[in-house]
Amino acid sequence: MKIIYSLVKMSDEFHKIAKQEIQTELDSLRQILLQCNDDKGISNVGDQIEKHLHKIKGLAPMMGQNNVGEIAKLNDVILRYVIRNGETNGTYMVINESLQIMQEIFSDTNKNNIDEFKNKIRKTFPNIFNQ
Amino acid sequence: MIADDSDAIRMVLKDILDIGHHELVAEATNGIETVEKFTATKPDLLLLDMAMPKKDGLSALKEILAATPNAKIVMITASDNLSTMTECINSGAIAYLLKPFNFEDVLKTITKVIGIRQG
Repeated sequence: MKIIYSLVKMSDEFHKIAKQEIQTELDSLRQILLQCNDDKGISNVGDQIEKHLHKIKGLAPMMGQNNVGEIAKLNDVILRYVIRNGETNGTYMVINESLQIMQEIFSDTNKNNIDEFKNKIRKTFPNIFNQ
Repeated sequence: MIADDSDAIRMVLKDILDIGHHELVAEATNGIETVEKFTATKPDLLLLDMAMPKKDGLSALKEILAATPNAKIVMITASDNLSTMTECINSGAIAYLLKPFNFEDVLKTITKVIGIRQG
């Protein structure tokens, strides 16, 4: 069955299209975040942000961008909490920083320690990630 | 039939169908087109993305099942929210697949669902 994984994953055409689609999602996310100035702004557009995070979370790992997928997944957990509970302290900063780092990883310009960043996200929201 | 607004996801699913020797009869990139093409082609199986433009996957699922109660529909979602999955199944989906895909699981699910006799 490993051949299935190879056949699909190694397609250059798939990588090209997936890369364009993820970049479009990152750009859309950036446009939405430009409308926000604070945590309240994030809670107002939570469902819009979540849709783009789902696309990134679902597609990025299939083209080998596991860290982008994991950061999107962590942000998705945060957004789900925000959608359910409303304005949440720290979301504006973390989601903006996550977008910047996802873009840097995706553009191959990242110099941050990704594991440290993922831990930082979890530590910023202990009530969400320790549930 | 495959319904997903992502060209890349449709490409992956097409490859998997091909590997399983299943014929692709139609593709759709939004919910409205999904209902139209399903009605026109009556496929053995519909792989249906939850988050699509114009009409979301759940609405399309309900509309298709209202007209074709024995339709075999597998939902596709990147949301691992339990309530989303429960809603899919309660609305009549026969199974769901989580993105990112485990390709082997996708093929196993397709093969299993297509093998289920219609009631």
